Amino acid sequence: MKVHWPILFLVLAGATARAEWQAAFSLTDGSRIVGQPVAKALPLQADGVGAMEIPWDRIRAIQISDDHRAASVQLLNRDQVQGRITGNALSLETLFGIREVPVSLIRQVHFRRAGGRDVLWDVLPIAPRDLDARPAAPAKVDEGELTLDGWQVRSRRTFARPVTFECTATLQKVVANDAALSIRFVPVDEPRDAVPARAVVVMVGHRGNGRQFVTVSRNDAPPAILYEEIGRLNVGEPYAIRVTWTDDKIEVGLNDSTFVTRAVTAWYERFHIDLAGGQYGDTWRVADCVVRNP
Amino acid sequence: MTLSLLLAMSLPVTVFLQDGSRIVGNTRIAQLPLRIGSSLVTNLPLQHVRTVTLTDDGAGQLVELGHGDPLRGRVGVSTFPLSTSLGELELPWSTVEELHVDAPTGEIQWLTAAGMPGFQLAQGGELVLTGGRAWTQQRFQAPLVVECEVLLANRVNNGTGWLDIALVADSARRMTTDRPSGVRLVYGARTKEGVQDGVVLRHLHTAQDSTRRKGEAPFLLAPGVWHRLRFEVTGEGLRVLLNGRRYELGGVQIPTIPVSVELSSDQADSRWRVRNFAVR
Repeated sequence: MKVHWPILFLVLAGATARAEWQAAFSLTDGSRIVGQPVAKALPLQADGVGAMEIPWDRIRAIQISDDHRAASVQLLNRDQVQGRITGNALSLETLFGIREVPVSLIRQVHFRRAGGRDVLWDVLPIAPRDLDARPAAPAKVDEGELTLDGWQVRSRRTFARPVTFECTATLQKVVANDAALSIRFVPVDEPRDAVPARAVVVMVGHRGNGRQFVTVSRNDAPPAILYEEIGRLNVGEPYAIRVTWTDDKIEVGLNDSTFVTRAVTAWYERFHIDLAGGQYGDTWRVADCVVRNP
Repeated sequence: MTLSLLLAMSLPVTVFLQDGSRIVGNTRIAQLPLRIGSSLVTNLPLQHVRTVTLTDDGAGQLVELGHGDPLRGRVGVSTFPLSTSLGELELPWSTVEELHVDAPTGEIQWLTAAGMPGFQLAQGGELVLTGGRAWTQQRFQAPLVVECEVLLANRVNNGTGWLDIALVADSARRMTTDRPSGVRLVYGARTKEGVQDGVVLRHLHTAQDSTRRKGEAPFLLAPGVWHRLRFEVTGEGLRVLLNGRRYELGGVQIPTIPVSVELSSDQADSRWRVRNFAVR
């Protein structure tokens, strides 16, 4: 068990209003139920510790073992507690009423800030540039978590300004000196099987010259550099990315920093959001993708 | 407005709610009332519906019918009953963003020559072709539409391969190379512009290689991805929609007798998977 006790006590003491958070329960039959737990805390019989109750709003994720006997609870500070969920079912307040979700049906639970809409992704039939250079495996979409290694995904739905897109991106593997993740706002009439000719592109990455950057560009025009600094992105470190596009500016949040440009504009009435990563042989894992309308 | 229920039938559906919930279950709804315009209300048989999607402006729904035609309107129900692993649910329709009807529209029976390798019917009705050939037991009368999803599981390095979907008139012709009408997905073809992937529409001895049109991005038959294919044989000609791109061949005489639909691929090294195959 990997628990830092002082941190855990702080976590247990620091519960805040539950309404700010919601949970997504992934079930064994493929369903995914979003809602708020009715109880204030998760009852857990923790290994070597005994009975404990962990406030829901301090939990990042729960993974249930295949035999449904063990639960691994990841806290917001990324500490982990192992144990067994007490009771046979968890009560959840959903859009269709309060429901009892049997523990035997739960595969995993993820938590996030309330108010966002999940993004459903389609893998685009656009292969990596060099098919022979790497296995021909497309981007993986698993429970909303994406693995991008040269392939691209597109949101099924379209969006309009003002819009905020949020995700957590982790650079998992670097092969060349460059690595980049692109978030593209693509007008609806662009074809699905070619790299879009028209798009507003936010790019986060690092270059062979040893500099990390955030840029915004439109089509093939030279990009506006929002941020550039010596240093490379850290492999394995999750980066919280937030892009807000309004009528007059594009705001990019990278962890706790925010960068703004008014230099790039486009007047797409509606657009998809594309994600592209791994053009340099790098691999990205992107999770917690949410769209909010500010 | 009430929902029509047909107790004998239970359709598998997946419902996506606006909060990101995705609920898998079965519904006993037989018909979905759809208001088109201000007064016209039609009851759509749910088994002939592929998807129902909330429009981007939230004012109504876009219904994609089984044969691919879109229909815009407003679904006139207040709740959607669903039998799920959590029990019987009544989902408020106002929370539904998307509805997928998982049932295929018509069961296809496949025939293949005895002892012929290279064709497998996998679990869930998925077809796997590795140099084999199979055709539908059912015969269809043109005009018709063939729809399916195609996945090229592996590309042969520096090689070429193809998958054919062709109309065949009688069993005697199935072992010949002559197919009256068809579409071929090909990768690694040697063309004047170099090695390319493409779509080839064929009618008797007329062929149109629609690999690339001027000014268009190169077509790439990316492996490992499901490509959505729609092949139309009408009096106006042959038309293929692949991932939303359109390819056409005019001047075609459509078969006047019922035809089978044949699937074939060229070599065992290329592995093709086909799912959600339907002929309408």
